[in-house]
Amino acid sequence: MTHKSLDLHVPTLTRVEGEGAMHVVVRDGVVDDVQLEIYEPPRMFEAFLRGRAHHEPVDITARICGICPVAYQMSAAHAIERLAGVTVDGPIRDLRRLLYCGEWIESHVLHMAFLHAPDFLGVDSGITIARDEPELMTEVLHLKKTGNRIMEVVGGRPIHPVNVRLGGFYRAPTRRELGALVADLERAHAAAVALVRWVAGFEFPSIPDRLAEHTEFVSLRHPHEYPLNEGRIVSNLGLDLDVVEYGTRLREIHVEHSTALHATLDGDRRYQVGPLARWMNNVDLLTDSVRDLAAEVGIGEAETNPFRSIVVRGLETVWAVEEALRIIDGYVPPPEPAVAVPPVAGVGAAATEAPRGLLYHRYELDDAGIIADAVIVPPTSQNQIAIEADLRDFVQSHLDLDDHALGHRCEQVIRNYDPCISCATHFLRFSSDRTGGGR
Amino acid sequence: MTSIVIGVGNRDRGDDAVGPIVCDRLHAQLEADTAVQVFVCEGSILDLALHWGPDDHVVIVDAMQPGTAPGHVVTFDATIEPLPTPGAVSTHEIDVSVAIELARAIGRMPSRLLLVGVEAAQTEWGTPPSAPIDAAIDTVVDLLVADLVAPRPSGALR
Repeated sequence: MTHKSLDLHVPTLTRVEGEGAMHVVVRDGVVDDVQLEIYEPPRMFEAFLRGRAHHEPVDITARICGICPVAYQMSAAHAIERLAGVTVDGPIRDLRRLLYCGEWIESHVLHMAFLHAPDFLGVDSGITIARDEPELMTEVLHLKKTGNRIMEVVGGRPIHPVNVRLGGFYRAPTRRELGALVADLERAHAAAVALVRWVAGFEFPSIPDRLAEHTEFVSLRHPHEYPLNEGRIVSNLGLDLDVVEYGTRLREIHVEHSTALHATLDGDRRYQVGPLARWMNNVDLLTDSVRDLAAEVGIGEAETNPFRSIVVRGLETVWAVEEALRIIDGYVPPPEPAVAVPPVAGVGAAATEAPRGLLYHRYELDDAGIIADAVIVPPTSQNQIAIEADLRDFVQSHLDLDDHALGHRCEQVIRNYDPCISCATHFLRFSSDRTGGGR
Repeated sequence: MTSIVIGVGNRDRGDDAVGPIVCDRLHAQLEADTAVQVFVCEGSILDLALHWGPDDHVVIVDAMQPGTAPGHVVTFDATIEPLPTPGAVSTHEIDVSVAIELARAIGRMPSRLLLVGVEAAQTEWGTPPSAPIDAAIDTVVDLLVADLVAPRPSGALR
């Protein structure tokens, strides 16, 4: 059926983090309006942070998300350490990367196998897949569990780590404790490779004319390593900024249909963050084994089809397992688990790579080291405009699909970004103007 | 065969703490019994199936959604009957039923899997368990101690 006019409303998006909806309007064969509606109530974390001590955001912001708490902890820690002029290196830096690898593994695998794969197979849940692929899904569960296990050993708990502090950790694990992860990681590596090969066999829809030159892919770029915690902010279209300048060019816009702000660069520059961006901007920093696997499954150096992001997530998972093994192999416990980070008045910012993409934090501390202002811009906020653009382009080029198929594919377009709606809904800022005499 | 008790829930969320608290009490009472493993699952629930083997006897204790009878204890033999799952859900709705049915789907069910649910009165952040749940915790602990000392091969708790 060809849609000359259509009002497609999906009131509750499933298999995403949090609660949202989608609304697409087609009039006379032309997409008239597209809205990713995020209605989950704003959570006001930035307001909670005001008035708190400089060491508290590491714990407070971890509670924003049960899937990517490490990302919040790392961005908060780096922002405040940078303000203090403190650099964390050596084994503490390695432990942070290891912890982040654990989060990437558990988050990517949850999304790939249980949230996104059902789209490609036409089923409604990972349970159905598990009935058809019991051996693969057993190993996938073990792979995910291994990511959570890393978080438990390094971070103290499998979710919402409690062992992270400014300057490092409360306690550094022993070599023996990390060594106990090796057998699981070796088994997990085989599972991650199998998962990549499995998802690479799916049929992938496409969005016509979605070329690299039409879309700005933004990520961290570090000179020597695939980025997690550090680097400049770059894009395929020439962006190359320190995070401080990035913050000055970020603009957040409130739209009526979303409790999450939409982020742009310079007010009108649309971009996207996440695995496709990281891959495109850092492919030369991956291991040979990951690059070989990418070539085997047909992922090039600049993958732009958002539907194939599931394969890139898988490749990043393989890399994260390898990076975890590399770190554990060379690990020597630090003399102290953390370095001191004194409160310093001023403004500090940092961005790290959450599984879903760049996560920006900015903190302003007063002379007493108390937080006067906090800004958090998560990846889903930065991706909302790109998601809506994809929806518009996809619907316009697939009007021949029937209502059911089109609605299903539109949800898939959104899930391509692994949106974390709960993370995104803490930005709505409330202010009142009483100068007019009203109350 | 190992007996495994898994307490699911959040200690900081009112009556949702019932599973972890039952585990705390069992730890204290069954300390010397090496044939019984007791642990708390406060996250990463999806991979529950990897915590047991095919010959194990497993009991999962969790809070149930508030209804009309706070503290009411329900046992369900998931070995025999599948649990209703919420279907295509947000990650916020991944619960014990999803984890158990995932275990069944991949062929990793234990020889006996009992689900013990305690109906919650409230699950507000930062609150302690309410009075009806306190009483129910004692009931569940007594049931489990009796069951674990001389477990039945299948079926519900005595």
